[in-house]
Amino acid sequence: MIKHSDKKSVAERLFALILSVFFTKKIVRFIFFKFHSYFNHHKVSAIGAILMPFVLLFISLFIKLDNNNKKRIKIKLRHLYPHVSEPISTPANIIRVLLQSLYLAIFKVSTKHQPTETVIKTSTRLFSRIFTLLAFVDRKLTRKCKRLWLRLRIGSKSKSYQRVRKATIWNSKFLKIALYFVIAFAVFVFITVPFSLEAQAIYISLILIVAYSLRRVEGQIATITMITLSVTTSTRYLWWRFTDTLNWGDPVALALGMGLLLAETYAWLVLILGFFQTINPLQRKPIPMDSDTSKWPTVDVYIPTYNEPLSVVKPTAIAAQSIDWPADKLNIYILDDGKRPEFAELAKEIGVGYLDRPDNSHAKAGNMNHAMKYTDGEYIAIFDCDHIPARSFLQMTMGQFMNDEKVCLVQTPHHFFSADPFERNLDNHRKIPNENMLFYGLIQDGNDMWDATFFCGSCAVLKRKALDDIGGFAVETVTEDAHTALRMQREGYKTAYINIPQAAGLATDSLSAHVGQRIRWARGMAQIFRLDNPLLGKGLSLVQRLCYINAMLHFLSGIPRIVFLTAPLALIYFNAYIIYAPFIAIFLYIVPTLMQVKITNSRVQGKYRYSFWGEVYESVLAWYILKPTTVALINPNKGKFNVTEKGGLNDTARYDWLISKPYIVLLLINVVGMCYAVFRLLFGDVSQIGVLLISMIWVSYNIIILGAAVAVAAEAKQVRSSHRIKANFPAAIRLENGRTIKVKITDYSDSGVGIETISEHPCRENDKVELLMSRGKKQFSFPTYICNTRKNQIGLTLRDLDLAKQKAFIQCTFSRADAWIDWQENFKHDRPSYSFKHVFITSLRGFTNLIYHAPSQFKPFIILMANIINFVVSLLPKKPIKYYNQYD
Amino acid sequence: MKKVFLKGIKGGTGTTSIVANLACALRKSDEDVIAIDLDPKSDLGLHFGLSWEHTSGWSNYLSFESALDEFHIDDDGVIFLPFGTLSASTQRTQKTIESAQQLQVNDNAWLLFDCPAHQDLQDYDLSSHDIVLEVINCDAICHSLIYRRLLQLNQSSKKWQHYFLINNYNSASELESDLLQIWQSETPLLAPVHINKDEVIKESTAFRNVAVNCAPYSVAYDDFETLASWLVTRAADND
Repeated sequence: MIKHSDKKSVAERLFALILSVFFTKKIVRFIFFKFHSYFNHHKVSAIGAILMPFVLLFISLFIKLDNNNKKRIKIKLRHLYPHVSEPISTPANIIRVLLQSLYLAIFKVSTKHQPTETVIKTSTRLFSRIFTLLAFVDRKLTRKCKRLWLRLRIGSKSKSYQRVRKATIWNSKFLKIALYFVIAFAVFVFITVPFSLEAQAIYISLILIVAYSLRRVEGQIATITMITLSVTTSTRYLWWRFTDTLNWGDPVALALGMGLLLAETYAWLVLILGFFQTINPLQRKPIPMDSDTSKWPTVDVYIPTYNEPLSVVKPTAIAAQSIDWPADKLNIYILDDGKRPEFAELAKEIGVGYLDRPDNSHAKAGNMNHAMKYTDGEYIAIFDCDHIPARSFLQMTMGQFMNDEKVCLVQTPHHFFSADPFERNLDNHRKIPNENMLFYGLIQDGNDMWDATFFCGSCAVLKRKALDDIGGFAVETVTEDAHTALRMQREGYKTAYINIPQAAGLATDSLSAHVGQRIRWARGMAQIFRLDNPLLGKGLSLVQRLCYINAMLHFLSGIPRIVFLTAPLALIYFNAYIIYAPFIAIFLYIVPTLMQVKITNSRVQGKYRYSFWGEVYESVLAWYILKPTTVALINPNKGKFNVTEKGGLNDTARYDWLISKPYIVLLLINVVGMCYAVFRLLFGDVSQIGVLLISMIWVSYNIIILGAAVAVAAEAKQVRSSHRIKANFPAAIRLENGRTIKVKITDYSDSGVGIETISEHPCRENDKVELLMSRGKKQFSFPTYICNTRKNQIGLTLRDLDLAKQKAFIQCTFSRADAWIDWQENFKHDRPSYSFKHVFITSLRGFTNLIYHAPSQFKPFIILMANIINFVVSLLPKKPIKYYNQYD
Repeated sequence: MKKVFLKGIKGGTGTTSIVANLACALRKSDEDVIAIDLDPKSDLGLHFGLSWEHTSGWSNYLSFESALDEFHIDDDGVIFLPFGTLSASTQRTQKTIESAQQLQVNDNAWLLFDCPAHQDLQDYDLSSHDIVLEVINCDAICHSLIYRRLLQLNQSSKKWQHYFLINNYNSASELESDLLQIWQSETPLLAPVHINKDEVIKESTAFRNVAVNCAPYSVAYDDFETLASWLVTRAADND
């Protein structure tokens, strides 16, 4: 100590002199000792090192700082301030100490350990009690409503009511027209009478009460009631928007407001037409054929192909040969626009026809028109080269033709056994209905009711005579299928739809291929709208026109969707009141209408499309179909046919930045808008808080939808090259030692089979096993190798099958009549809140994907952001560490 | 009583194993079954687990009534009667068949007769309710023999229901699958059931048991079950 004091510098000695005025020598030495210790030893900053001794002295006034106390205090402090680590006096740590002290002072937190169960239990018990009570009340109410409803229905069977219904007075045409007029007038009055806010509130509550009471009631009449209510509510809403909410004063707001209004009108139109289209799906039953096969007509099967690989087309051609139809009346042709010699060889090997043509004009339609010159079947069945038909295809469809001469087309659903980009990238396969389920499951069925089914390009049979009447397949547009059906219907023919899938094919491989396909459809539909408008021209009934128009309108959703995604930003950025109405009015009009429409849609589309996913699908496509449809509407002859690729393989997981650029831009605009809105909320005009809040809610909804769209662009890795199809039918295997085991086929692909045994099996990998499968009365045996085994499951690969065995295999698997029959049965009915939660989770996934797949330039930035966030979070107060007091 | 006669179209087609397994399959459906061996080879008992040292059967006795002691019952409840060591003439066999029908059993019981391949069934006095299953294998010799038999049946005044039953069918063999396809489309009187080749049928005899008991998860089990139910419907149609 004495040595130390010899080496003091001038500043130190001066300081020591000052201090010795206040403190004793011992304490001065203590201060210097502590200072040196902190500064040199613990590397604390100078200021900290100077202050610390004084702090210690201050504390020692109150507490005796001997060894034991010090230790105990140190331990307690470590528990109370768990996130503060040595050295204590960095700026960050000071902030931490301050915040934690505040936290400890305000919230009484004990360091004694409490068994976690009681804490959680008390809070959750209260919540769960409330929930059970609500659920109980809900069940009782809906049951009462159901009973009431049924009583009303039974009442309708009463005699007096029936007498009124059946009275012949209704047959008078005059009375009918008069009644329609009265109803139309009443509806018009009802829609246009302006409600005060209170009246609107009461009206809305009534509507919602009715919607709630009809929740559990099943049946067509309840659905029609809901639809009627939705129609009235949304029409009233639209009328209110047109008459009451345009801001004539402000030109910017007016322009933007008109834009939004037009988008909403589009949505309303699509809604109304949609309800009308799907109100009563026909669910046509197949008609069996005459038992005398000599009366059956000849059928040509066309399999057009362009650049698809051989492995995709081969199973289709083989399966087509196995269709149940007299062999002399069935002719199969591969129409190869790629003019590939290996396809000609394949056709010869399998025993099907092969047609190619000198040029490639008009793509698929031209191909088929050319083929029609060289074939002469009375009916033409068309399969895309990857759609493998079931053996029962013709049995299910031809009966319609035999029954009614005027039928020119029978269409069956397009079902996919592989996952489309949405399902694959979001891991939704078989969990939620996919995008085309709505169309083939519900919309086409609804179209069938009004005789407005149109040709979808594949899995259908057409009458040759009808095609000859219209001069072959239509070539003016890129969706030649819908156009051909439209022309045939104009000629007076009828169409039919059988809602049982008879073939399954490959879904589009990647998001870009998917978007490319939809662009083509959108362009084609817009071309048809311009060139052969279903609203004009002869040959169609009013309902048919409306159904076709609805199909076309669906593809014009590009602009309205973009408008919806950016509308709330008008208020936030430009302070433009696009909906010029007080906050309460907006709330009372918009929210209930949206809810009502959502509930009705959920009810109508239940198993075919889950709520909110429609917005996601639309958002993904919106930007891309914008330009082609607008261009096609203006000049229908521009633009070329780009073929959809099928059969490719993704070998890495990557993010498709090119495709997702529009969504990311939109997302950025919305996120920035959100931040700006928060800023305005805190610092802006108080009077605008209401509308700001509504805009923020809308923006957050948009962000969620866009997040889900962004999530789709993350292409998942595809491991298998051949797609596996789920199945459930019996088979058997014969082992090398001659024993047999009954098994169940759980999945198959074109080169392998997955089986399940009832009990444990003695098989091991690489064993040779004979697979015995039957088709009808025939039993086939296939040599296979075991590629993997688990307790009850075995994976088999087929190797080196000759052509006859390949044919037999496809007959036993892909061609089975019940192969696709459960395409819809796995899906439960839609529940909007669950669906929204799912979309939300998908959206979060989208954001994490963005960050995970960020290009390397952004990575340092992201790491920096992550570090900043981590740092800020570390400053926040934390719960003190609990410890077991050993004396308790 | 329902009578079913099983014989091979030629020797070695596996008739006796079918009798044993069919008896067991019928027994599993709670039918009363009595299997009687009319084949001098006397091996039906071996299929039911009878020891090889036990050689006597109905042929060792002068009358059927005195042979009642030779009836055995196996663990499943199938009653069977071995042939024995002495030879028997056609009349004696015919007497045995008739006496079997006098047994004091359920009217719905099944009588399965294991007949030798060389036996001409016209020697027996069969009625129109009797079912004859002629066991064949899928090869070209049996193909010719089938058509010989069909010619014979056309020329004779047969009254019984005759079916050809395929045994030991191997679907991996090209010849067999082709023949089966031809027979299914062209040959009359083919039974709709066929018994697949399955090692368990052989292996179960090593256990002194039948395949139906030893391998419930095999194809053979399914085949015999189907055969049994088909026979039940055949017999029901007869009544």
